[in-house]
Amino acid sequence: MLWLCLYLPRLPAEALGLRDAREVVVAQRGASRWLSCDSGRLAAGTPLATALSLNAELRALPRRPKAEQAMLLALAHGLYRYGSPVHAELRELDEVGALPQALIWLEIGASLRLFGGWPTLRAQVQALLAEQQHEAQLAVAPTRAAAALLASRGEPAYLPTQEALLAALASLPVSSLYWPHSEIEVLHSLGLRRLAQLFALPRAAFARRFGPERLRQLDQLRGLAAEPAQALLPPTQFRRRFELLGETAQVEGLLFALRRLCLELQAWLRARDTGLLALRLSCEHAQRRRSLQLLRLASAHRDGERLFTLLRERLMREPLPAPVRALELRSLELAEPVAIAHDLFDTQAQAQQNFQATLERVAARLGESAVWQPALQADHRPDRACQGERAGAVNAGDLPPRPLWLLARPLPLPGTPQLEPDFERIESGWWDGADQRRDYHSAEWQNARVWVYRPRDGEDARWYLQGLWG
Amino acid sequence: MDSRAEKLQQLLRDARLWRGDRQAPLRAWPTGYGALDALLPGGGWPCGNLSEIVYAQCGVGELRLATPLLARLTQQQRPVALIAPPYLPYAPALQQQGLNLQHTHIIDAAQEPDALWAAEELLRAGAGAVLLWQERLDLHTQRRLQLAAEQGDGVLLAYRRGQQSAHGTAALSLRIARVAQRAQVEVLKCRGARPAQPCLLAS
Repeated sequence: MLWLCLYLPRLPAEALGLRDAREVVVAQRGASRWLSCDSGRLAAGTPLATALSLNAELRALPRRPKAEQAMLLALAHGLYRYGSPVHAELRELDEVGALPQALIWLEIGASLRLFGGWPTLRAQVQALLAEQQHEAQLAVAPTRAAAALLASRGEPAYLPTQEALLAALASLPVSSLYWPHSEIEVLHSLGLRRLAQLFALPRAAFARRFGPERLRQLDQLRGLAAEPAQALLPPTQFRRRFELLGETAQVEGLLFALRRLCLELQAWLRARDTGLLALRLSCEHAQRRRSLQLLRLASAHRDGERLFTLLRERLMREPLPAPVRALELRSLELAEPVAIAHDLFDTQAQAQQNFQATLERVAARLGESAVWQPALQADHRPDRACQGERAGAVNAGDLPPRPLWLLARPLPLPGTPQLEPDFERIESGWWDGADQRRDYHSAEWQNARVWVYRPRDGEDARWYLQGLWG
Repeated sequence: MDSRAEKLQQLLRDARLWRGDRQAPLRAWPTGYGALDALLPGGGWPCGNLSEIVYAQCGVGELRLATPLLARLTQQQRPVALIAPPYLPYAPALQQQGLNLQHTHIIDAAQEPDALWAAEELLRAGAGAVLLWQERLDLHTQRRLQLAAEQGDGVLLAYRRGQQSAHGTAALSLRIARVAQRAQVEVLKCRGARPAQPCLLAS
């Protein structure tokens, strides 16, 4: 196992979205309040009273652990593409002046070669962090505990082997352990300053003195004990919101955000190893109003660019009803994507995929009802025989010849057409209230060959035009 | 050998002289009607080209003219599209004509620009054939559609209601009419040959 650990020292500030240097995040326990992360020249952990005496203009904002947790999880899901399993933890120490530890672990041993080694992977992870405006300290070690310890110390470390890990751990001070202050004091008073000294102590005696929990933690650091934890899985549905910096009334202004959402959706689909069949895009306007766009794909896939093109066509179709403040993309239906075999000699499957994508685009622009496929239904009534839902089992070969054009609504003719002698009698539908009893003839009408009928019952003796032999 | 024949041979060898009977063979899909194929230079609908069908009114057999082509393409799993048809293409009849309905797509485009855009996109995406019902295509649109058909190697059949050919760049222009209760096809223009006598289609 090789764990990459990310330690996020500024998560409390990032979760609140602080931009101003005069705003600080403050944790509270009882009456004492202290800074949760560095702010300018003030170090994290400084009591608020001290900070205010140094800078009277500070505005203190309380921590929001829920927002921190949500942000941590979102980032962990984003990192899912670089390795698995992924763990995330927000550690709190119930002590005055203690800082929260926001940590994400990724097992990268299996995927390191795929990404071309540690320097390349680090560059990719850092690019992702920069894009999402997170500040993080990275460390790589064979155990999760050691990786977290090294990351929180802020020294870039890459320790791929057990020997390198032991050598690095030996020289670390005991104060770097995330233990309560009182216990560190006890260790110091015993003359134990370095981790190497702790490791050298008799195990049974150490466990009696400090408790079996502390011994286990030391073992976990060195990889002598298991580190059980629940791995994170991406959520079962995708739902991401993008807040625009300002209101925009032009579709062009939305495209950047839309593309980013689509690419996030693509990453999520890849992580879940599934494909998308339907999605919902909602544009949020002022006063909590929103306009929705539902999109259904002809076949499931996970191509972000293709989704983006479709949504763009859809948005371009008509002007925005009001200026947009935020976009939200949600997956509605998922399905296994149709796997394309990349056969060197068989280009037909790929061509069909391409054609399907184009059809989707046409449907996005003209409306979903404008693009359809003829289908059959086992019904003798001519106007119902073509209303099937892609039923492939019905065969029209048994029917007498039918005209290629059908009129949506039969047209009464002002006279009698020149009928051909053969006719077909269709009587059907008495069970569902749409009873039809008709005699169908082919006929000549105004220089065209038509398909006409006359109702058999009732006093209506007119001829109706229902089809054209196109 | 007298000198006049020699001179004639010399003239014929001149590279500046273009002779219509030595053109490259046209690639074409058979129309499915032997009598009509015999009239057409490539023996059918020219591939990757715009062809025009002029018809006086619906119901003279104008769609029947194209169904053998559509059947052949869809049986080979190449998609075909009918764009802005004047009436409902009737599924049972299409199947009776041999079309594979799974590869048949119909696009109802109420607006003319939408229809043209869809035709161009689908041709570029590799549609085997696109049937387009439009009253009139301007020269610029014809060129665009022509290029799209070339790129996707599909057949574009532009249906136009009327009597006269209006699409100057079409490689083939046919007029179909109903004469004495039979469909009669007349070649108005074809690239690479001189239009011949009208022929009657076997119904």
